[in-house]
Amino acid sequence: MSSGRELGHRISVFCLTFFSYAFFHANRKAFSNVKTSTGEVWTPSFHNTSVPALKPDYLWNAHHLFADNDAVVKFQGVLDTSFMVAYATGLFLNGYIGDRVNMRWLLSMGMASTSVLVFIFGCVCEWVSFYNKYLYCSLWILNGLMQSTGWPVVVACMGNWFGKSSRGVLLGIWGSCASVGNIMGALLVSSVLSYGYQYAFLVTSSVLFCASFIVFCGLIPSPEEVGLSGPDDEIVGQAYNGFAEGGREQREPLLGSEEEDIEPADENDEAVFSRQDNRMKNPSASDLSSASQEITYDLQDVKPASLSFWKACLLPGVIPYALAYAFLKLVNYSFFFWLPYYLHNAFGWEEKVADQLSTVYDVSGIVGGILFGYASDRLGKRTVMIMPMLVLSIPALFIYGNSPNDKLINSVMMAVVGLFTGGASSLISSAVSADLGCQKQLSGDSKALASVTGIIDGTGSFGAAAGQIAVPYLQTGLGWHSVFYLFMICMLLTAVCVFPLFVKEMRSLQCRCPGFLRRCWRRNSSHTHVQIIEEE
Amino acid sequence: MIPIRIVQVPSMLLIFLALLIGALVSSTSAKIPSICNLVCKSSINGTETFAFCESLSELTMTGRCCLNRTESQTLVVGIDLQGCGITEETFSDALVNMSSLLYISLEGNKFKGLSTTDFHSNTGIEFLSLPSKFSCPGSKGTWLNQSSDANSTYCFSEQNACDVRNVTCPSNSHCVHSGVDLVQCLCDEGFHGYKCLEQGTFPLTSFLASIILPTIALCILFFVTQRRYVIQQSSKVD
Repeated sequence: MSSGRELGHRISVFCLTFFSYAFFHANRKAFSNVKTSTGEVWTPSFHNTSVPALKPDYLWNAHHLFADNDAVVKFQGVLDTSFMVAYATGLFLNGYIGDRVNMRWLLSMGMASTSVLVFIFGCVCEWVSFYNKYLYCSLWILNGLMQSTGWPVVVACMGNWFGKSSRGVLLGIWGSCASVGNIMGALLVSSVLSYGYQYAFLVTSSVLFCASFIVFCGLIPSPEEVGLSGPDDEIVGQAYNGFAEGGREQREPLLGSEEEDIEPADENDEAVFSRQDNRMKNPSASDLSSASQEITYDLQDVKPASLSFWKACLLPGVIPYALAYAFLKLVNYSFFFWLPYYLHNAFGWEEKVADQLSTVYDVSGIVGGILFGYASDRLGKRTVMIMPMLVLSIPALFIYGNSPNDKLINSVMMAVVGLFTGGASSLISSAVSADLGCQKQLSGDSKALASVTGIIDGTGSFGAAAGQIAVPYLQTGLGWHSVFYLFMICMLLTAVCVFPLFVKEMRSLQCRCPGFLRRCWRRNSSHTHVQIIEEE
Repeated sequence: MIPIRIVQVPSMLLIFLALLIGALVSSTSAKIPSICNLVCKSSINGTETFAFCESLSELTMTGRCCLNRTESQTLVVGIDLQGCGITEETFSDALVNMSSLLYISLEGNKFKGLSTTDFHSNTGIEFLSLPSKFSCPGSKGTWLNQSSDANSTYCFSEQNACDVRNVTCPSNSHCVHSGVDLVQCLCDEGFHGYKCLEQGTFPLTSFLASIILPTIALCILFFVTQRRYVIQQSSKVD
């Protein structure tokens, strides 16, 4: 069992999950970047009493899906929202499914079907000149459901391969996949848009389609599949032994900080029980007891059982973080969606300039995710790191909302806001989700990873959908200041949601300082430990 | 069987020949529109159209029409329908396939009104005479000159409507003068599709090649370096 090969596997898992999610995002970006073109294609040319209608009709007035551009913008808003709601729902579903089926199959199936749906939406409908609102809506809802296979599966794979000690910084770096996907999508779209908007969809969807084959041929969802042990297995093993020998007291020091909300003993019983259940079921399917059947039986025994959806929800820390992420993603997503428009609308800057400036938020979010992720790795606590970010983001948002009409000051403030909100968002959606999904509460059962990721990101996406609806209403009704107050309230609510966990983590930091130091060291060195044991 | 076959072959040949001749005859007669053969009250001699047609050697008068016959086609360049008793519908229907009229005279007919579209795609009308109660079709500037007398209204030299109306077409398209006071916006060179939004042809084959080949290569690469190591259930026990 060479560690070189393990490194190779890790690199390939990193790249495959990174690019699969990036290509998902490229497809989403393609839709938002061709909105102007689709708007043109779906409407007749503008004319009124003073502007005569353009002739010939087949060239200028043949398409009547919508009367004018306003109706198109409204419909595109409906598409965005229905996509988001479907995506949020799908995250819950696919997280649950992801823990039960082969994640490689689920991911490549999701990628392939997303690409087919995008292809039908963008290319087939255009080539056969069939424009129908209801078809577009249903395709986009299905697309949301299929795209949601991505996040839970890729985070679960990353969580399987990378231990808690390095998760913060690695998932922080890895979390840039969405932005990288956006950039790739924008580049692909702009390079082929002149051939017609349908080719923008063709290119992004076929890249995703091809990537689904590569994922199918190359992804190893968990180290167990190639006979390697998981990154945190050693700790888990100890914890489990500790539990077996002396119950909670011994197990306690090795645990993460998120625990206790429900009785752990029950959890373990449940897991053991379902394992026995598996054992009971399998031989019954193969009474012949041939050699190979025996083996299947043995392997099934090793495979950890999956947690039920409600059990996954009730894992300590999941509900607080899910709620917190709903408020946080509302702010984060609204920034992604509305920042260019805000800069254009509030300061009168050119759209191109506004587009370019708004990437500052994107980049500083990634930087924040990496920096605070690294810090949380060193500290061994995530909430302790996240809380100050959330609190500091409120004044940052207030100042940014009152930023003067100056590009430099504005982008500096934007970077500060991005560092805190974008960084916290990146931490919660990946590193915290992965931590919660394979916490020791599960007694070595890492099968809740995808479920927990799905629950947290799903709740977050519902928040994002709510923001998508709320922001335009607030902005047109009460102005941009009200939008910023909404953001500040949301950040405050985010902080309130994670406050109990913060208190708990702080207490564990203060009360058991010597223990904490020891534990910190242990956690950081656990990785090498595993390898040493393996090599022996 | 045999006699029938002998009879069949010549008869089919005959039918074929008859069809061929019929097609030829009808095509030559179709070259002169039926409106040219109208019998009208006023004589064609001495009309503006007649004078114009006589002045150029390549043109010939046939009935009410002045024709420009070439080997490939016959164009109607002048038409004089004075006193022919037609309606504007008949006139408009007759003009559907004519786009190179230079001289038109329409006095003495049962016209109630004329619109610019009745002249279809004629963009180079030099002389148009109408009953005196009509004014020249189009808007201000459609004609270079206008005049009238007791019997007629005269319109001289149709102007390019793109220039007259100062039309600006959407991007990737340009204005084309397409009839009396009518314009169209047609796609610029290289642009096509609805609203001229598309440019060039997507290099589909090279795109597919450039995406499929790397995919196959990467699939093989990842399989060899990754999935190959996956422990099959049967080999795990060893």
